[in-house]
Amino acid sequence: MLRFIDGDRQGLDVLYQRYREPIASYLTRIVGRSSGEDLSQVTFLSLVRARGRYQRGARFRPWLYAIATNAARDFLRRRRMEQLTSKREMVREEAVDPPEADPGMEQAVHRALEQLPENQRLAIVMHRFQNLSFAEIAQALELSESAVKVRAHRGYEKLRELLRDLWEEP
Amino acid sequence: MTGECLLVLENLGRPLEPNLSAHVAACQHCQAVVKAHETLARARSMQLSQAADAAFAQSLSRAASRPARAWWVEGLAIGAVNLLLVTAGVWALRLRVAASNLAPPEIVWAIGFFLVAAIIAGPLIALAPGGRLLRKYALASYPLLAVAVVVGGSGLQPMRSFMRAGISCLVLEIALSVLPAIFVVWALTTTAFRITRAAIAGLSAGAVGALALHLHCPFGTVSHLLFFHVLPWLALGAAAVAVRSRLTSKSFAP
Repeated sequence: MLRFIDGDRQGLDVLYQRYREPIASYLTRIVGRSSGEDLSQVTFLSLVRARGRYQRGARFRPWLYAIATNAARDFLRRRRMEQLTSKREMVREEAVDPPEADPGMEQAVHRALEQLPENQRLAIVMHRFQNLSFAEIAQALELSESAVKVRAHRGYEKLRELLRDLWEEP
Repeated sequence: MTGECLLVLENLGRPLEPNLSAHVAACQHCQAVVKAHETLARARSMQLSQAADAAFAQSLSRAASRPARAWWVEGLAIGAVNLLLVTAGVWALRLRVAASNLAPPEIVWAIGFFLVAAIIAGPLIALAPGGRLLRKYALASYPLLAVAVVVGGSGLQPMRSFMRAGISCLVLEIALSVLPAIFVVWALTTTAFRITRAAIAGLSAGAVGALALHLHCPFGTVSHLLFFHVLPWLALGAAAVAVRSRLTSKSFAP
């Protein structure tokens, strides 16, 4: 990131190649397939536009995930507002994002994650699927590490209930 | 949730030490956490489209070709514009009516000093990356300042009717604060929407009008100060939050 801030455009290419997939995968789990990849592009555009806000010495990965999380939250907030104002929109939105290529387990996990409160979902997706440490998640969510752990713990407990049918399979 | 539960959480996905395994065997909560963690591992990884997105690469490249600006440049510029507007506002008001706050000078200057600080520091704090705790303290300081404005009034009754004297103050305050509010809320679109950021931004803009009135307005009853100096100021803070929440962010950086 510092290479990029100092004017080396290749630094951006390296960042994009390294983090494109993890970020798109993270966002897809939060907002759904149809919007996840679009939001990952928004995340990288935000990174470029806001590089003047990056503090030298700060860890890059939590900063990038904070941008992605903010983009996802904004998207979800606007979607909720649209759903509140128009029931027709809601029906359309549900139809737009089908679980096309996610049969079985992936679909069940996606549904279960969707039922978690936002903060628990974010903590679990970052921890389980993106392999971020609790310290990194805390930085990305602007929370204390202990608050993140409590949310993750509660989230996993709830997931156990939601996914009970799956793990009780022989 | 015990300390051992936290240790189990931190070690998910790794072989657990015997004491933690024993804890899991005895703790229903941890059993649930471990089971959920294992179940999620069975979900296959997301398959993303690998198609090279040339159009996006171009947009990224275009955005990267624009020079980066440090966040504090805009914050300082807005603070400076705010000060200029206050100075111009007070000067214009003095040309029209030679009046000023009749409270004891030390109170007038002390409150004035804090209002100036709110005008300059507000945009910087609202735009600063991170600083969540600082934002909370800053936001809490504005109502205190508002109370000081009301309590520190001269007590002088308006010579005109309550509403007539009040409406002119209200209009002046809003007129002086609108431009700073537009600048700072627009600048906030370079960062992700946060209620505290937007509220501090709106309150710092409202402080521009509040300072001009504080120095110029001779009326100092609690009701006049509360309804026509302070409430419009606080309302501007709320309006800034409402407007910012509807604007599209140019960046989602923290």
